[in-house]
Amino acid sequence: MSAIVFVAVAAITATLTWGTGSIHQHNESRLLNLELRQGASVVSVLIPSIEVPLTSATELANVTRGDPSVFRQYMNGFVGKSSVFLSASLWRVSNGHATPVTSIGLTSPLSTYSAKVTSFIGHAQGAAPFAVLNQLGDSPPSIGYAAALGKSVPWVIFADTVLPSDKRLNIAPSSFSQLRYAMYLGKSPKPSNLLFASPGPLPSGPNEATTTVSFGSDTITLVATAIGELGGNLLARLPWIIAIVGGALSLLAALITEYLIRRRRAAERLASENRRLYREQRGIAETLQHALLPRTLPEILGVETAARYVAGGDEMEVGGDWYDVIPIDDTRFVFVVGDVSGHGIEAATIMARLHFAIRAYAVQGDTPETILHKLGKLLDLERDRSFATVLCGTVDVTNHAVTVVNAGHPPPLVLNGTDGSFLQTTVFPPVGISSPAEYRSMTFDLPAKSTILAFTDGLVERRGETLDTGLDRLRSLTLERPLVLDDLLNKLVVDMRDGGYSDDMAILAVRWQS
Amino acid sequence: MAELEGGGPPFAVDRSVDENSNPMLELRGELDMSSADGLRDTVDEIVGSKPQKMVFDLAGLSFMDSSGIAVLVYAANRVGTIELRHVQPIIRRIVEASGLSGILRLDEP
Repeated sequence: MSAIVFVAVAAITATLTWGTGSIHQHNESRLLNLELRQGASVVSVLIPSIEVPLTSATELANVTRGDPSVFRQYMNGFVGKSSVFLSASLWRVSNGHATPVTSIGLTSPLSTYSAKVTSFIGHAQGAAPFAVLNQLGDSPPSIGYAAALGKSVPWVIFADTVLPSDKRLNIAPSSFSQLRYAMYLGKSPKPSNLLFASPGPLPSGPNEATTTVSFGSDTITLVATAIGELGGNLLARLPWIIAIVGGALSLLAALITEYLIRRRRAAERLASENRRLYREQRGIAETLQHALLPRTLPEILGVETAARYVAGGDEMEVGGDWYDVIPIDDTRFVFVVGDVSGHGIEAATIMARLHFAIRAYAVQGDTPETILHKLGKLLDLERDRSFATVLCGTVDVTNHAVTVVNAGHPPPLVLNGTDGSFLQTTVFPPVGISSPAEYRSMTFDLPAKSTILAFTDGLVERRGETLDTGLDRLRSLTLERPLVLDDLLNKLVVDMRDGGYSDDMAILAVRWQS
Repeated sequence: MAELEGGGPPFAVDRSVDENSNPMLELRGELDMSSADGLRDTVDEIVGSKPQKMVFDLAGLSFMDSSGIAVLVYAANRVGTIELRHVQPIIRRIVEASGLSGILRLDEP
């Protein structure tokens, strides 16, 4: 009998030891990947701050046929010791041969660009919109960027950034303090391609996690390993505890009790640790999203504006919804509400790219049709696995007129006293679908004191019902009683929310004061 | 963390061929961002065999979000012709509202 008990308990001990060890490994690797993904999302949203000024400058060069003074004026804010770029230059490329036009931020003459750089610029049209040149081996290490519109446009913008030679960076958020991380340019983590890393040795070993973020024509590879145990030390020791406990067969009964207690404590500890991590990750995602959206909307004479963004059911991840208001002159402004399909890093990156690009286009005076047409070049379903629905319009405050283009987006609701109706916009295919649509705008004249409510589908979409049911629910909720704009939006985000499933949602409201 | 889990019917794909031997995918349940990547992989496998036409039977599809629409449009771009069968009113409305009924050939009988 005792032999049977011995064999049985030994077998149970071995299984439990292996089981808890494997749960621990799995949990550690899951937490590490979660941390790394959030790190990658931070990197992804920083990339548009490099890419967008250069692609916008290329558009500008194309429109002005390479006007040197326009180029220098536009790039002035981006070039300098504490700015994004150390230098920027405009080139004319024909048959792979690059000729300098003008530059800003360089102390030496244009002719001193190396053959490597001019050859890179000469081939940038093939890598449009954005190519990256690895000069990390140079002294000091640097990265070059080239933005181009394609083979038919001769204008290419080149810019470079110099990296600090020690390549160490301590990221402040506490969630990264448990990680040893490194970022490399390219697909493989070679020390010569290091962009920056956490202080101390580089991450390496069997438990490292890796992810990549696309960076123009190149890729950034992020590598991380955990310092200590992400899931807490108790779980890491649990396999040993069980092995020792199980080994002492003479104390079988007492030890089973002991084991159960320890097991429960470990589970409680793990659960609370997971809850803490979950809250922390959620905080990062929310912070990131709000950093990408306008903190306050610009003041516009004659109208009141308000907006809300609410994260979806899985608040661990950033979303692809956004809104924006961009003043053009004293009486007109551009407004945008958009939704990139999918969620997470990819959607947020595309959202940032479109959001900043629309700002640049609107500021240079493009109409909503032109803006949407140009956005088509920045997003490709085949490449990015996403498309974006965008409602973009110009509001003429004094004439009570709104001119909108709708690319696959829910129609905006117009409220006027006890009357509420959706603008009958022509719906064009979303941005990023291969065949670019010939977008046409429609202009609507609105009565005095009207309110325009533009939103993403997360506000009205519910599983198991048609879109029209959701639109009707929105319409009747807004007409229940008159509310000031902020109260109306607060009411909508609470009352329209679905108990079970929810997508992220963005709402933008504009109300005429007279 | 039960709050993270959706409550709808799980998504499932059946791969077969239609009466004209065109590859056919029958979609069931809710097609959203959590199931769209898997469907895209299946579509990629079929696209690899370069079919003339691809059929999606949506009789059992109760919900589709923009990630799901993105996969259908992707298939439409890669294959000469796609045909959507048994499109439920909820799904039809989502496609129409996205301005994609032309690209997904929903206007045809």
